[in-house]
Amino acid sequence: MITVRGLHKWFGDLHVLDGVDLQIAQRQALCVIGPSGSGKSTLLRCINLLVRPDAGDILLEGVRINSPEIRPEWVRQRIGMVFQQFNLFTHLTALKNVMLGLTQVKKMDRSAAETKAKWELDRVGLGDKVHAYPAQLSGGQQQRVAIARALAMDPKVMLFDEPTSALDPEFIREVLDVMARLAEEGMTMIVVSHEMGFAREVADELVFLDKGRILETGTPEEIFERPGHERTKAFVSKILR
Amino acid sequence: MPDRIAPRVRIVGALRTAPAAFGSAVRTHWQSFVGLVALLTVGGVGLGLFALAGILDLPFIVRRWDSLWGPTWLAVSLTTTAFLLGFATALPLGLARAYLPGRFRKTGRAKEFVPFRRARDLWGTPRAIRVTAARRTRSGLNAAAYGLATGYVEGVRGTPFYVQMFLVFYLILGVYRSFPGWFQGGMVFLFNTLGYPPVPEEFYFAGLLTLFLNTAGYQAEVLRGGFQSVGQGQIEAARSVGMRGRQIFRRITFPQALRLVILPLTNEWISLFKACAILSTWPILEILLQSQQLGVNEGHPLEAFIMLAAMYLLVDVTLGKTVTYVERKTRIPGLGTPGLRTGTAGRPGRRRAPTL
Repeated sequence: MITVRGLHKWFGDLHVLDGVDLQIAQRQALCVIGPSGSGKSTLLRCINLLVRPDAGDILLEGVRINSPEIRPEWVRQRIGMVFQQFNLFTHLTALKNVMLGLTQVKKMDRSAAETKAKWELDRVGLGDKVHAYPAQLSGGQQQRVAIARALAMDPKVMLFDEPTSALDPEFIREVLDVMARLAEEGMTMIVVSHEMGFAREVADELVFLDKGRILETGTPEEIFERPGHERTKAFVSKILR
Repeated sequence: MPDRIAPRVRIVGALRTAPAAFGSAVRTHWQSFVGLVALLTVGGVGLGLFALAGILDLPFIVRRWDSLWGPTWLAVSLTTTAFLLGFATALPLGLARAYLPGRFRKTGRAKEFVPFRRARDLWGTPRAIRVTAARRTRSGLNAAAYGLATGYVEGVRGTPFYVQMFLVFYLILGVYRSFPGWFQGGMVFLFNTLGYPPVPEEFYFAGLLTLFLNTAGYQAEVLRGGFQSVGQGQIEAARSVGMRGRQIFRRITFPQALRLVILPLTNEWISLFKACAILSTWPILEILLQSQQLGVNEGHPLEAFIMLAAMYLLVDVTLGKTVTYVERKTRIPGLGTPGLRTGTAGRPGRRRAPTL
């Protein structure tokens, strides 16, 4: 589904991604962990072309999406992204937040977009909040709207960039539940998250990223219980306490 | 000891709870008028005393009040026309000020990358040269446009309105008669329709131009601030669903920025309205000049300027209250200036969601 080969990114002198190779098959859920500043977010943003990689290939179903000939909008429609800070459009209701991409990018007519948006909101359990503004929703509800907004575009892959890090503990569960159900339904997804329970239950594969390199790849059990690399060991012992 | 402390504690306690107790009463809103009424009473009594002492001729004010409406209309219509034209011009200026820096500075998007091995292959080929040249040209044009916009804004902000007015007037009076006939005819028609006193139309035109050039610069900065205060995160989110720059501006940045700049733009209108008084230096009969004439010709300077101040207050306060009202009625929770009653307890306006 997605193949990343030799991905490099510099921010000035800072080598954020140092030759990342990654593969994710259809219907697979991949979890990325690593200390802060290790390049996890940058990796996701490169895949969505919010950041242009400096070297390397990103293939989506065999198409090299970081070629200059390919319009980034074409790519982004097909790859959904959920942000740490939700980033809902403040001036629009939950419904309009979800509809905007449908009417503007997919050029659907209003009524079709509304039906679809309502259905997506229902799917994340917010069918009764369609007319609420983001400021009237809790963090967990906002994040679920953001997930619905990304899902409405019918993406082939979903990227989650620390979706629960900005949430109060009481709201983390509801967001993780939505994500777990998505994975169950067979959505291909890449999740940057330190929610170990989630990784264990949902992820097919876990990747440990450090200083822009992938140090270790394996199933969640392997990485959590028998980390092979010193740095992985140190990191895992910290987050598992 | 406790006996001594107790009363103080009680007082402090009462003070602490006072706002809370008051909070529910404030809802009725009438207290806010008390101050206003008190002020008006004091003002009225003061005026009355002056009138009794024979310093102030109150009947004069009543008698001559109507003579102010024409000049007020002139000032309001001139200001508003300049303001609207200024807004239309400030939009591109503000856009340039907000977004062009990212399109020519190295930190921006301009650094599109070709992978190293391809860069080596492409080096010096006609295509590479063409692409680089196009990129440089675009970057250069962007930089030039930004410089132009910035220079204009700084020029307007950095010089007094009075000076700008003289520059424009002397310039326009020098060249106006060589403007095409249809233009001059159009101006005559415009100012006649607006019912302005018959002064050669180039004076009105120059006045309008001064106000317009001035407000465009200020509004550009207001708009730039509005655009830039829309969160980067939202723009990224919009990009991540595949929206393009223009769509993002039209659907996200602009509607949010517009709400954020309503109050600063109201301020700008009021400033402009007051700056309009300076146009009376030329024979443009707006309210300041009218008051001066009332004062000098009819020998009531104090009364004339009291009338002038009252008229300014009437216009500005009416506008301010109207804008506040409209803003409150159309407020979206979580966006823009919070209401008088801040916090979630306040009334979010009619857009409140049915359930929370």
